[in-house]
Amino acid sequence: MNLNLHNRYGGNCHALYKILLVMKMITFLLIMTIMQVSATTFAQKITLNRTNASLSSIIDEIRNQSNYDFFYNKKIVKQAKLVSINVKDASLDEVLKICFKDQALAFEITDKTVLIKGKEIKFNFFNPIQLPAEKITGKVVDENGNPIPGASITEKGSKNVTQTNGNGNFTIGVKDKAAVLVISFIGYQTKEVVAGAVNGSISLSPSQEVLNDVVVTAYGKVKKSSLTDAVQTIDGKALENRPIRTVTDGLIGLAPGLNIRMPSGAPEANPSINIRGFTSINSTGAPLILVDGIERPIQDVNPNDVETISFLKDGASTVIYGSRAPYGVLLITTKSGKEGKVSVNYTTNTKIGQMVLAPTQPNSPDWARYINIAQRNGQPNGTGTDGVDAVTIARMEAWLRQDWNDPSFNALRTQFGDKAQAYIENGQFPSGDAGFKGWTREQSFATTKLYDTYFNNHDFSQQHNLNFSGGTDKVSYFSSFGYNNTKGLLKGDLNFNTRYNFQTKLKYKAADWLDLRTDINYARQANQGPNYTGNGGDIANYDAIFSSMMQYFATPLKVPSGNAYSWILGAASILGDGGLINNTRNDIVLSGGATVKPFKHFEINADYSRRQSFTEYSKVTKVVYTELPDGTKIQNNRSANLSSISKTNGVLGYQMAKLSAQYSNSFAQKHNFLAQFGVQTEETGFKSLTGSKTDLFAQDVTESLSAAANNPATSDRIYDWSTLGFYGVITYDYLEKYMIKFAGRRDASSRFAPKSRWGFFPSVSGAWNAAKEKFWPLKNIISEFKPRISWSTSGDLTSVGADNYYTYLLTVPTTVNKNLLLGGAYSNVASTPGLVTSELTWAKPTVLNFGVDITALKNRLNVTYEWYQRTVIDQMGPVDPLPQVLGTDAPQKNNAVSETRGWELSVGWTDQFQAAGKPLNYSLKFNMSDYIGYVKEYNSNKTGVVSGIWTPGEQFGQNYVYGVKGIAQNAGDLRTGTLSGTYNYPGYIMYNDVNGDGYINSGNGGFWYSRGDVVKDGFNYPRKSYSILPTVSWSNFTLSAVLEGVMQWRVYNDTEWVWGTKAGADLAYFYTPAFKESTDLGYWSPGNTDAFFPAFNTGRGSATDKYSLNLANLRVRNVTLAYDLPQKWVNKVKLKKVNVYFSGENLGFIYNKSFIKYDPELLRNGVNGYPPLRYYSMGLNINL
Amino acid sequence: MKAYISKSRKITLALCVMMCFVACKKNFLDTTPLDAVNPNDFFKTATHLQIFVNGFYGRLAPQYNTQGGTGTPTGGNSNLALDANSDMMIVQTTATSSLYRWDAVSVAPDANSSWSGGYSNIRSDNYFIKYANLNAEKTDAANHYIGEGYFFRAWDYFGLLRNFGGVPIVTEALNDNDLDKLYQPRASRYDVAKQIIADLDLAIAKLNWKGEGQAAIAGRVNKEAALILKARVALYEGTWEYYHGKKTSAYAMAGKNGVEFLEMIEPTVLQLINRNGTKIFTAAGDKTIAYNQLFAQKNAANIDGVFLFKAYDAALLALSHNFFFKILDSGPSITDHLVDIYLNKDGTPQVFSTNYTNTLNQLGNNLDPRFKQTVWTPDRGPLNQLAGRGGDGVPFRYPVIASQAPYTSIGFTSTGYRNFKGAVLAQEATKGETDDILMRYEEGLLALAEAKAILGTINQTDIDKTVNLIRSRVGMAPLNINTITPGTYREDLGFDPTSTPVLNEIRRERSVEFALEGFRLDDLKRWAVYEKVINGYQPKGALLQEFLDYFNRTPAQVSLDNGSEPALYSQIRKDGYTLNEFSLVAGSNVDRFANGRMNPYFKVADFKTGGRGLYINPGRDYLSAIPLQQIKLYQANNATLSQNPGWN
Repeated sequence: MNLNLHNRYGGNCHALYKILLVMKMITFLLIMTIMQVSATTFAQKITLNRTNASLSSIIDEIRNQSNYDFFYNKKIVKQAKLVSINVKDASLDEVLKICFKDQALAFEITDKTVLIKGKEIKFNFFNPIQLPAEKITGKVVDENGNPIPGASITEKGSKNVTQTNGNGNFTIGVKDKAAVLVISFIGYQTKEVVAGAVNGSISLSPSQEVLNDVVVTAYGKVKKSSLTDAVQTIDGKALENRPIRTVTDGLIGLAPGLNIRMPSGAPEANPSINIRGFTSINSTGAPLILVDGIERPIQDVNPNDVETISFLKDGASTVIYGSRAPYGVLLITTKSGKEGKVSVNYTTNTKIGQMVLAPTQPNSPDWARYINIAQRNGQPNGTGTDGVDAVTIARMEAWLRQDWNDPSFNALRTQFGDKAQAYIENGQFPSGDAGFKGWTREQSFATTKLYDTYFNNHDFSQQHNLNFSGGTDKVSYFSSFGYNNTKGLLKGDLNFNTRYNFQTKLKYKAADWLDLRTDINYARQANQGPNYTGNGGDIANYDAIFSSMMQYFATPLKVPSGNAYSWILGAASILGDGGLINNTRNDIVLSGGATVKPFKHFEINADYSRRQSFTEYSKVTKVVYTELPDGTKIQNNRSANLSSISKTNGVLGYQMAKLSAQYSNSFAQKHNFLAQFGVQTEETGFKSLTGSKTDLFAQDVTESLSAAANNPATSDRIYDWSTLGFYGVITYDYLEKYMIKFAGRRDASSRFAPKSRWGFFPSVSGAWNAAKEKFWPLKNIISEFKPRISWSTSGDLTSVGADNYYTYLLTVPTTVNKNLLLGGAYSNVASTPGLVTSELTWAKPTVLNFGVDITALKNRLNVTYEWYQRTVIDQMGPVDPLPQVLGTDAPQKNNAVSETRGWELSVGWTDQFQAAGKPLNYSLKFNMSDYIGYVKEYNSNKTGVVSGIWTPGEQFGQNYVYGVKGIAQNAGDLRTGTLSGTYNYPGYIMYNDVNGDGYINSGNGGFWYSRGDVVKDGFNYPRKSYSILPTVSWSNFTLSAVLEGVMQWRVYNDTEWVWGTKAGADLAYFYTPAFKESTDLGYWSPGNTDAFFPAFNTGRGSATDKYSLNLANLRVRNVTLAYDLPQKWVNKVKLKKVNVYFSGENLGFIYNKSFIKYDPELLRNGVNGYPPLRYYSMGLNINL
Repeated sequence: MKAYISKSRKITLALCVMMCFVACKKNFLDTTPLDAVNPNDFFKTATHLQIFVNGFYGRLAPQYNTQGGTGTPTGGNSNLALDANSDMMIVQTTATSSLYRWDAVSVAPDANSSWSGGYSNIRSDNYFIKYANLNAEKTDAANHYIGEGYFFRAWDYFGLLRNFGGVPIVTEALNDNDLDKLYQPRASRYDVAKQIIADLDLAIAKLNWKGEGQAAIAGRVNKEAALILKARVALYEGTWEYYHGKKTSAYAMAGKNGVEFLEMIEPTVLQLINRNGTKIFTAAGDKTIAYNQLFAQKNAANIDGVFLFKAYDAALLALSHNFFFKILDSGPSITDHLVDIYLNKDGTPQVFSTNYTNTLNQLGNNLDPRFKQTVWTPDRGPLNQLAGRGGDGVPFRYPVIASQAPYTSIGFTSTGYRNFKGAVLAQEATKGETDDILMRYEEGLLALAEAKAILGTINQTDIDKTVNLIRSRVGMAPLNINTITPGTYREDLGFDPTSTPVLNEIRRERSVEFALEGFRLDDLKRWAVYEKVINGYQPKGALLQEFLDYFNRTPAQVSLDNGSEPALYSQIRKDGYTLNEFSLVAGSNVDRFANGRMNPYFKVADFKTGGRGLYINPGRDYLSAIPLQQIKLYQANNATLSQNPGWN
C-alpha cells in the first residue's frame, strides 16, 4: 500500500482499469494456489516407529517432522522413561500423548511450540484441622517500599477485616496460618497471601487498570499512557442499572466536551449528540457513531450491552474513519465473551415516567379575564373589545362552584327549557347559528384541565435484558437479547416506543495465525403516536398538540350526551381517534472479519459489514365526529376532511469493507514502533416506495391501501453514495517517554465531481511522559504527567447537506401539483434546476489540540485537561450573495472559514476508608467544558452588506437585546425610550437609548457590528457546562449520581408560555394560555405599577435583557442506589449474584436560575414540545 | 517452515487484491441521481415542454378563497377580494392599511418578494425558452408550449413593471459568474414594456386559438389570452407615459408620451373582434343575472369571452375558489367610491344631497343593473334563499357590521355593502366549484375604447362595438357619444375633469365592469390620479339606519320573524339569530357620518369629521421601493441599482 498508487488511481482511471483486469486474473490464480497449499499444510502428519527410545531423541524426530519447537529442561527429559511408539500419519497431539503417557511430565502446545514441564501436584484439603486463632502482624507497602495507610486486610471467606494504620502496619487474628488474607487498596492490585507466609512487608503493585488503562482507539487498543490524542473513555458500567432508553440519554454529563441536547420527552425522541460544540456555519458537528466498528443508529444499542465508549475528539485520533468523522467519533464497544464457563445475566427494570415542570393551567374565569385584558391591550387604545363577556365569566364562576341556580344561567333556562340543566352541567350550550356547528367556544363556561385530560400522571414501562457469555481457548461468545418499552404519557396505550435487540458475537481462533470474528445484530424499533388533525409528519405532531393545549380551557371535553368529544377541542385526535402514525424499523447488521498474523509483529485485519435497514411508515388519518344538539354527527373541528392512508416502505443498504496491515515491534526494549496502512470503502443505497389513498372504506376497521377509494398516489425515492479512502498511521515511542504519531488519509466521495472529489488530510501528534524521566522531581506525588499536542486535518462533507447526494449534477425534479388542474386533472409539473458547481469539495476541519494527563497522589487523583482550536477551512458557507436578478441562489461553494475554541477539564478522585468496620470506596469526578465559535473568513459578505448572513468576526450564538429602562408609568415616560414605528401606552416597556440618538432601533440596516441600541447578552447555548459524578460503595451498597449543570446560558423566548399571551394578540382565545407560572410574576397595570412584566399583551417588542431567560442550572440527572444481596442467600438459590437497584432520572434541579420554571431544554427555543420526563425505576440484576 | 510462510503471505496478498477489486470497481464513485431526469434528456418532446411550463401556472391565480372547500368558517379563509386596499374596497380590520401612510417612513425594505420572486420566475422562463428552442421537436404542439413560455415571461416582467417600473432585463438563464449581467443597471420602463410586447408578439404567433390544438386543454393559455395581455400592457404603459408625461411627474418616461403603445391596441384588439365579434356571455339572455353569473361558472372552458381561467374542483383540490367565502364578509368591504360611481339605469349620473337616504334596495332598483349584480341587496332574500341551500351554513341575512362578540371569528363588513358578484345560486355555494376567470374579452374591448378615446379617434361605431355591447348584456342604457349627460367628473373618484366626457365615461365603464377584479389600483396609478383619489378620503358605507332597523328589532318583530303570524310574514324571517346576542348602538359599536352613511373607522380620529383621512405620498407610493439590500450589494460591487423616487 502506498499513497502514490492511489494518486494514480485518482488521476488516471483508464490505466488502472487495465491493471484491475490483470489483478482479477491474479486473484483467481492465487486463490486456487492457496487452496492447494493449505490442503498439504493441514494434512501434515507424523509417522514414527521406535522401541525403547529416549524421549529426547523422539522429540528431535518430531521436531523435524512437524516444524514445532520444543522447550524443556534437559535434566528432566533425561530422567524420563524410555518410549516405544508406532504410529502412522498421526497428529502431533496423538503422538505426544503416547510419549508422555507414563511420564512424570506434562506437555503444552502453544503457538508452534511445545512446552514440557513437570506435572503439578494437587493437594486435597478436606477435613482441615481447626487450629487456635493466630495473630498475624504485617505491613503493607507500595512498589517503592512506602507504607500504605488505610489498606484493608480481610480474611478470605469471613467477615474478619482490618485496616493498616498510618505506618502501614496491621494486626489481624485468623483461625489458622493457612487462612488467606486479601489485601486491597484503591489503585493497587488486590493481593492474596497465606497468613502463615506473612513475614514483614507485603508489597502491592499499582493496578494495571490504572497504569495501563487500555483505551479503544481508531487503530486498536492502546495503553492510555502512550496515547497522544484527545480521547476520552467511559466505562459501560455508567449506563447500567438506569432507566434510560438510549445510550445517549445515559451519556449526559459523563464526559467533558460532549454536548447532548435532550429537547423532548416524547417516547421516540432521540437526543442529539455533539462533540466539542455545535458552533459552525452550517455543520451540526455531529460525531460519527460506530458500534463495534459499524455505523449504526445509537438508539439501536442496548445500553446494557455496552462495555466501553470512547470519544475520539481530534482529527489525529479519528484518522481511520476520516471523511465520515470530521467532528469526532463515538466508538461504542459492546461486551464480548470471555474464556470460562457460561455466564448468564438477566436484568429487568420497571420505570415510572412523570411529566415535570409542565405549565399550570388557570381556571376558566381567570383565563377569560386575561383574554379580555389581552384583547383590549393588544389593540390601539380604545379599539380593543372583550373576548369573553361578563355573563359568560359569571357562568364560568358558577360552573366551578357547581351552583346550577346562579342567575347567570336564567337566560339559558328560558331559552332551552328542560334541556338547559344538561347543558349547564356540561358547561356549554348550543349555538343557534348553524355555522358554528352547534357547540362553540363562545357558549362555553366549563373549566377543562387539558393536561389532566390528555395525559396520565405517570406511566409504567419495562425493560428486560438477558445475555449469555463464555468461551473456550478457541471460541468465545456473547449473546444478548433486549426488550425496552417506553410509553408516552398520552392517555390510552397509543403512544410508545419499543425496541427489541438481539446480538451474537463470536470470536474463534481458526489457527494460531488466524482469528475470525462474526457479529450478528438485529434491532427493531417501533413507535406510535396520534395523528393530530391529520397533519402529522413522520411522528406525532407533538408541537401542534402542545400548542392546542393553550386554547379553549372553557370548552368541556365532551358533548352533554357523553357520546362524542366536543366540537372545538382536539381531544378526539390527540387521544387517537383521528388515526395513528406508526414507524417500524428492522435493522440487520452482519459483520465479519479476520486477523491474519503471517509473521511476527505483523498482522492484517480484514473486516466487512453490511447493514440492511427496513423501514415501514404508516399514517392513517380518520375523520372524527362530534354530535350536534339534535343528535346528528358532524366532522370535528380538529378533524381531517377526508380519511386517508399513506404508507412508505424503504430499504437502506450499507456496506463497508476495510483492510489494513499493521506492523508493530519493539527494538532493544526501547524503541516501540507501529505502522498501519489501510483502505476502506463504503457504499449506501436507499430505495423507498410511498403510496397513499383517501377515503378508507371502513376507517375504524381496515387500515389498508386496498381498502380505500380515491386519489391513489405513488412516489419513490432512490439515492446512493459511496466513499473510498486510504490511510496510514505511524506511531513511535522511545521508552514510552517520547511519543509521536503521523497519520494521513486520502479520501474520495461520490458526492463531489470527479475532479474535486479527492482530498488529502494529514495529521501529527506527540506526547511526553514527563514523569518517567529520571529527573522528575515529584515521583511520590505525581506518577504521571503527560503533555500532548496534536494537529490534524480531516475532510467534512456534512455541510453540503445530508440529503445532497449529487452536488454537481443537475436534475429536473418532477412532481404532481395537486393545486393545479389543467384539462380537468392534476398537473405534472417540473421545477427549474438551480445552479451547481463541480468545484465543490471537502471542507477541512483542522484541529489544534493541547492536552495534559496527570495522575497523582497514589493514583487517587486523575486530571485531564484539553485546549483545542478547530478551524473549518474551505467550509461550505452560505451561498455568495449575488443580485437577485440571477433568479436563484448562487451555487454552494467552499467559501468560508469558521473557528471554534474550547477547553475541557476532567478531575477524578478515588479513595477508600474504613467505615463501621468495612471498607468504603468512593469516587468523585468533575467534568467541565466550554467553547465559543466565530466566523473567521467569509469574503462574500466581508462588510456585512447583506444582513442576515454571517460576517467575519461574528460569534455564533451571541444574543443581541435591548436594555430595559423600565416600564412606562405615564404618557410623559413615553416620549423617550419607546420603540419607534409602533404605538405606545403606559405599561409598555421603555428601552435604553444606548447611542443617545433619540431613537430606539437596531442600527444601520442590520450590519452585525453596528447595532444601534442593541447590546450583547450572553450566548444562546450552554456555556461552561459541568457535571459532578459521585459514587460511594460500602458493604453491599453502591450509591451513584450524575449532577449536570450549566453556568452560562441565556435565551430570549417570546412565546405565550413565558409571557402568558402572544404580543398583539387580537384573537386572544388562541394565544392567551395565561399559565400560572407567568401570571404569578405579575403584569403592569395602573394599580400594580412595579410589576415584573409590562402590561399584559403589549409591546414587549424586541428581545430585552430583563426578559431574557437565564438558563443556568444544576440538575440531578441520575441517582442510583444498588444493593448486592448477601452471597449466602444467593448461593442458596444457586445464583452467582443478585443485585437490586433503584434509580431515578431527571430528578430535579438543585437550582434553576430562569425566572420561569420550565425545563431549560424546553425554553431553549420555543416551548411547544413534549416536556422532558422524570423517571423512577426499580430493577433486578441476576447472574447465574 | 517455508510452506507456512508462503501460505500466510499468499492469503495476505489475496486479501489485498480482493480489497482493491472491491474498492476500485469501475465507476464506483460515479453515482448519478436515480429518481429525477437530467436536463439534457428533457425539453425534447411536447410533453416535456408541457410539464415544464405547467410549473408556471401557479403564478396566475393566487387568489383562492378558502381551504378545504367544505365551507368551514375556520377553514382558513383567504378571502382575497382583489380590489381590497384600493379606494373601492377597504380592509376593515385596521385603518393602518397600506393606504394610510401618514407616518410611514420612506425607508426601503431590505427585501421584496415581488423582486426576488419575479426574477426567480423569469429565470425559469429563460431556462425553458432556451432549452425548448434548442432541443424540442418541431411540432405544432411544441410550438404552442414555447409560446406559453413567452407568454409567462411577459407576464412576469409585467409584474415587475407594475411594482417597480424599469428593472434590469434578463433574457437568458444566467450563471453565477456572469457578473456583468448580474450587476447590470435598471433598464427604462419603456424598454421593459417593449421587451414584454416583443415576447407577447412571439407568444401570439406561436399559441393556438382557444379550443384549438393544445389550447383545447381546459385552463391553458391561448392566443386570445396573449392578445388581451398585450392590450393590457400597452394600455398600462401607454397611459402611464401619457398621463405622467403630461403632469411631468417623477414617474414620467423621459422623451416618451405613450402614443406608441396606445396605437398598438387597436390592431391587437381587432384580431380578437374579428374572431369573437359580439360573442360574450349572456346567460341565455337573462339580463338580471348575465353579468353576475359570468363569475359563477363551474366550467368556464366554453364560456363566450372567457380567454383564461383557473379551474377549481372541490373534489380534487385542497384549495378552492369559493364564492361563499367572498360573500361571508371577511373584512374587505365595498365603499361609497364604487357605489357612487354607478350611473342610474337611464344613463344619468347619480345626484347626491347632504342627507343620504338610499337604502340598498333603492340602489338596486335605480342603478345600472350591474350594481345589483355586484352588491347584495336585501330583496335578494334575507336568508338561505339561494335555491336548494336549505339552511345549512351561515344564513344570508344582513351583513354583520364590524367585528364584535360573539361574531369575532367569522366575517363582517364594516360598510354594510356585501360583495355579490359571482353568487353561486345553488346548493354547492360552499363547495368551491367555481372556476376563477382571469382574462376576458371585455377587457380588450374597453382597452380599445380607452386608447382610442385618448388618441381622439373614437367614434360611435367603436362605442357600439365595445361599451354598448357590454352594457346590452345587462340591459343598461347604451352610451351615445353625442348625448352624454355631463356629470361632475369628480377627481376623487378617478375621473379627469379636464378631459372629454367620452373618455371619462369609458373610465367609469371600466370601473363598473371590472369592479373588484383587481384593476383599480393600477388604474389610479396609470391615470396619475392616485393621490387625488386617496388623500383625504374617508371611506363611507351604506345607510346606517337601515341596519339599525334590522338588527335592533323589537320582540314583537322577532315574534313575527319567527313565523307567529304567517299572514303578516315579516320581510326578515327566522334565520337562527337571536335578539339578545347582538345589537347595534350608534356611537358605541357602530357609527355614521353626518349624512347618515356608515363610518367604518369611526374609532379613529383621522376618519371622523374633520379628520385627515387616508394618505399616500404622491412622490413615493406610485412605485415600490427597490429592495435596499440589492442596492447595497450593487454598491459593494461598484455597480448602481437606482432607487425609485421618494425612497431612500
